[in-house]
Amino acid sequence: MMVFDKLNVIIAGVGGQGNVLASQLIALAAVEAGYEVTVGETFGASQRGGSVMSHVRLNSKNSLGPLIPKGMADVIVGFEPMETLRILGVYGNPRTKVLVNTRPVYPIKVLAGEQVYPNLNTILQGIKEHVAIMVSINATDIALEVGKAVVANMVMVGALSGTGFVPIKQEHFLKVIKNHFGEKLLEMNEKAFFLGLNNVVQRIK
Amino acid sequence: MSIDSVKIEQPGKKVLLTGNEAIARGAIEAGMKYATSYPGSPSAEVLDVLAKVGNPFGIYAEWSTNEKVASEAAAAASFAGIRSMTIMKPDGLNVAIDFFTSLAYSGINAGMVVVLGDDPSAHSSIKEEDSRYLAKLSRLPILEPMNIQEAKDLTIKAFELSEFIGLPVVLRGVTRICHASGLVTLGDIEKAKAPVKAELKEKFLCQPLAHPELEQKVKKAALWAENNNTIEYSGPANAESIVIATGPCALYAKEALIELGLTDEIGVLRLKMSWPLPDKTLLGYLKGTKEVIFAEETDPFIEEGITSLVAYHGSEIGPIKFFGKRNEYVKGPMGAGIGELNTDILIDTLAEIKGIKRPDYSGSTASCVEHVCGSIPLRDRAFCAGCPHRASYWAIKAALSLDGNNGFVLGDIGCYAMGRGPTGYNMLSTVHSMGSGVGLANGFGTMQRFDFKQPVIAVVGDSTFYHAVIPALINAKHNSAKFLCVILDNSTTAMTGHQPHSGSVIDARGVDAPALSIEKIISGIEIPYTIADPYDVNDTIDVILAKLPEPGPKVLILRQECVLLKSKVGKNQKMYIDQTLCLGSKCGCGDLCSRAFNCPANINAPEQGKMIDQALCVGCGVCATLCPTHAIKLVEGS
Amino acid sequence: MEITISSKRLQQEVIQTELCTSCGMCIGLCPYIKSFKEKTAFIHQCQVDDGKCYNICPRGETDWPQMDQEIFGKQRTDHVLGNYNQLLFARAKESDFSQKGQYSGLTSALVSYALSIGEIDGAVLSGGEPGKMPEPTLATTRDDVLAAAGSKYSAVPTLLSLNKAIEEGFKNLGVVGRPCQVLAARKMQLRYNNPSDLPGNKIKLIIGLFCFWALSPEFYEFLAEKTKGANIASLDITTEDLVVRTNGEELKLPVENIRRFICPTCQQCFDPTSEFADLSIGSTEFDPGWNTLIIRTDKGRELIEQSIKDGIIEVYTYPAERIPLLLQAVGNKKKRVLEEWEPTYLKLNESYHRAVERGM
Ligand SMILES: Cc1cc2nc3c(=O)[nH]c(=O)nc-3n(C[C@H](O)[C@H](O)[C@H](O)COP(=O)(O)OP(=O)(O)OC[C@H]3O[C@@H](n4cnc5c(N)ncnc54)[C@H](O)[C@@H]3O)c2cc1C
Repeated sequence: MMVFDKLNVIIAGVGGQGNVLASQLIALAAVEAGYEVTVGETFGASQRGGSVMSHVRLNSKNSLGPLIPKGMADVIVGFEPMETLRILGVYGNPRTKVLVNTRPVYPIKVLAGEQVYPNLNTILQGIKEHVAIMVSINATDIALEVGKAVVANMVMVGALSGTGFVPIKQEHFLKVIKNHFGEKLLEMNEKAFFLGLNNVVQRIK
Repeated sequence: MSIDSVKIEQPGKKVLLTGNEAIARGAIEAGMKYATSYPGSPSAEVLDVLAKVGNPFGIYAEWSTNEKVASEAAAAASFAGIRSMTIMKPDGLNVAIDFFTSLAYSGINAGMVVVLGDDPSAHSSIKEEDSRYLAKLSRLPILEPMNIQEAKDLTIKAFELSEFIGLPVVLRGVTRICHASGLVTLGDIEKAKAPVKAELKEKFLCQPLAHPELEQKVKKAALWAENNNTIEYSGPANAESIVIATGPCALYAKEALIELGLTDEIGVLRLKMSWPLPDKTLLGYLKGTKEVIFAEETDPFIEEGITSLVAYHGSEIGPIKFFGKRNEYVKGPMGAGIGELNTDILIDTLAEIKGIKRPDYSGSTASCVEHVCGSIPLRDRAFCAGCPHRASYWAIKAALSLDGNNGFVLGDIGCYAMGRGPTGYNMLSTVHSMGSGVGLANGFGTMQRFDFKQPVIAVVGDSTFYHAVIPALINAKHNSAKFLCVILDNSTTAMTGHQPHSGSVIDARGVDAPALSIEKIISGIEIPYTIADPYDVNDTIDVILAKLPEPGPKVLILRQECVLLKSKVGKNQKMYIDQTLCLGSKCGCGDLCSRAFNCPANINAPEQGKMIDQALCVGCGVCATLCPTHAIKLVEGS
Repeated sequence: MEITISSKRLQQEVIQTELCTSCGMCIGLCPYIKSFKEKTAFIHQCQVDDGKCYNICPRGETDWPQMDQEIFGKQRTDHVLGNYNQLLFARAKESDFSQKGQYSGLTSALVSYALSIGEIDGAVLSGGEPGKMPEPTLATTRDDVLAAAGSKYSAVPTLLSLNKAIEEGFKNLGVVGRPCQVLAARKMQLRYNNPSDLPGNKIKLIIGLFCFWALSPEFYEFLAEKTKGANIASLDITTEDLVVRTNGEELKLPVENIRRFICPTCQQCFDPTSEFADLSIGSTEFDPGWNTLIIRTDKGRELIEQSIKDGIIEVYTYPAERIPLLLQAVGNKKKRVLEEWEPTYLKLNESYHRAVERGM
């Protein structure tokens, strides 16, 4: 596993997808891994449907502001294809590594027929062309297999662990997941984590 | 990041906390015992945390009915010798301001800290307001933490200052402090457990005679600032250019200077206290400086303070060129003084001032969106799938159309403020402050003599009802104002994260509490009311139609729990679409459920066609009621 | 720019201008159009071009000569009564009909007969208690028909139950309606009949009433006030009076008193005798035991012949001395509409205008 002295990670998605929790767990795991961590996020209105983004900044010194400047994301974890492309255009660069959930969440104007959601393959292909590496996973479908759509966030965390994009060991992730979830929910979330992890590991090999 | 970390009793340990958690921790370490708040983003979680972890430290924490009551209760604790804290957003300070301007005159006893969560860029607010002006108006000194560690440390300092001058002190957090996280080194909380005794021993009277004393206290606060390292400078000695920053803007400035390679040229002067200013120390730094760039959010508050200071001392310190909001060098995303700053903005600002080019990190990736698909749809905020507000607005919209008398809807803030946008069918004609829809309805409802004929509906949330609506309803009853007040009762304060309110069966700490029934209060005011289920759209439409023409004020309580609470419990019903009955794009001139009703769980996408998104659907069944061919059905036994 | 979105046209040209006749034809065609207190309203803005709602609206653009051509295969020569075959006095023979019916109960008797011989499987009527807000109904039996007999003088959106019946699977429907409703049903029948599953094919018989105006629902409040809440047994509007019969008593109110309740759209109505119906039925203004009957189409003629043969109704020559009275009443109304209103929804040809100049 590579070691970094500074790493900017963006977790992007749509309100209600559980990406805020995912970013918290990634940040806590990074602390376990010995990094100084700053997290900036836009939430507060619990309402769903808006674009939601968290900036997780790993550093050896804790002097960073909570927001990543344009073009300086090293890793983008996208919970939704279109949002991933949107964030990539602002924060990405040709060296950025991307993990993307392929399941679209349609904005209401698209549902209303006023706007068109771009073709999914075009989006994914387009992301791929503009970054160093892109790993895609249908985390939502995998989560529904486990039983609940919300655990897509743990599928994504597992997948992130599987990609090796961040210098955080699997045991660090598992430790913070265990700390976070009560007994009742732990098993389902761990299962989701491993499904995400294995799905990705098999494919990148 | 985790509430449990807030109560860890290991001084020196580093834990990851959010800004709000750090403020709560700071309060605990400072021996604060009495906390009150009405929920408001971005600072709502401070009280959440104090209520949940405060017990072992003997802390009393309550969700108050509104910010004025909250402030008064916290002041009482201070009067009685107990350190106290009250937490609010700028809108809350507006509500409480009458008390604070009076409190300044009476002064306080034990330390009292007012946590203000400003929301530059209004991420989760109805407007952006720089609360420092009102704080200054009330003579409350203002501390502004730069990062999470400081959110904790300055909270403790704020109590010291408060007791030193005998006035409450404001700790101003912004969204990027409150909702950001960072590592915090914990301090000692052992002594915070010591019992305290409350007793009123003095008088606290607001009277004009106290004004001179108050101004002395302000001077004392400035002196405190001089002596307590509230100014921090980093950068080259004798720099000709400096950035003067408050709060997280200091971090943005530092990073911007690094990215531009200007760290040897420009220094950053950070003010931890933005009012009153430590004039002497400041003048020391300004002497010899040629250029000053201001970095603060949102209004030019320190900019005004410092430029005015310099105007009095021009001859001592020589000419300085200022770059700020007044001359529009420092701009938020939508202009000077509008919206939050960030590293990017300061990179651009400093590059412009210094006449250099900003480095390009993005390369070709910057144009990926145009390259891949030209543009992508914006993502408007929307009511959640199954949100009772969507059904309520559908019913109101239908009823007003059917009634056919040009009726309109007055709203206020809360999740249901989204009724002003497409997700609420653009139904709201006015949105202002808490409860103001009902106040406005009082006005409209008493204009019959001016040939006013339109039916008036005011919508309010349940939490808002307790906060600000009751006086307006009393007014309506007494003056026979004709309107229908629709209380969208989702049994929680949903917008800010589901805090309990006066109608809840538990209090902030999760302890059983008497729940005040909305209908009993309304009965007490002798206004007729009806309760309906917004999911039963057709019944709701009928009730509204029946109520609109009745004289005087009327209340309709649309009661259905917030789906976010319900989905925590687990969804109870599953819906599906019978494809043999669904008319798809021929329905209602095209997809009634997805296009017109516009629930995000009714999807109609090229890949999937018409279907229920099981990841989003909560099984409320409203679309099944509306579907003209009854194609949307309940999965049997679900 | 010309507006093509049907819902917008309908709202701008018909609803906002108060030209809506509350016929009910568009209600239920689409989930966004609903009726409340006999007013039609859109609860949602739809975006469809060339939608049914506008195309079937009796106050949507209507080419009168073209309607004649499509229904009768010829242009009219009589500009007062339109195309017709025979003008008669007629009455129902059974006393049930004459007792419950407005006049002789001819309309109800014919509907009941058409149901009994299977000519239609359901009839769209306007039911409800006299003096109260009427309700659109669907009759499938003789009792249902009798229950809906009698004139309701407000603008019942009857045709919404036509849409409902079609949705429920009725295939051969009869319609009794005001002239505006006849026009709407005819538009639906002519314009949406290809392929066979379209609603137009389900309309088999159209009986039109004579109607010079209908009243807004406020009329019922007025009535309740005048009768002090007494149960109303029947209502009739003669040339001079509104006649209200309560239990045993008869109350006469001058027609002038109710003029203020006349729906604004009725002022612009060019069709007092249901010119596009198969059969048109009105009062005789003379003998309440009889009705005026205009046989217009072959379908209408066949139904009349058969029902005479089966002893359901009987007919009588229209008294020659009364013909001018009828022509004058109808002609004046039509002339007034053209001269005073020049309705924009009406597309007429030269011969109509010449007829007006001649005094119809
Ligand atoms: C609003 C209105 C105005 C009228 N104005 C005139 C007039 O000016 N001159 C004239 O000669 N005749 C007029 N008529 C017709 C007349 O009142 C009788 O309805 C007609 O002569 C048939 O009589 P009947 O004995 O066959 O009726 P019935 O056998 O009682 O049948 C009447 C039928 O009309 C239907 N009906 C009742 N009210 C309405 C309504 N509001 N809309 C649609 N259908 C309805 C009923 O469902 C029933 O099927 C008017 C009718 C209405 C409803």
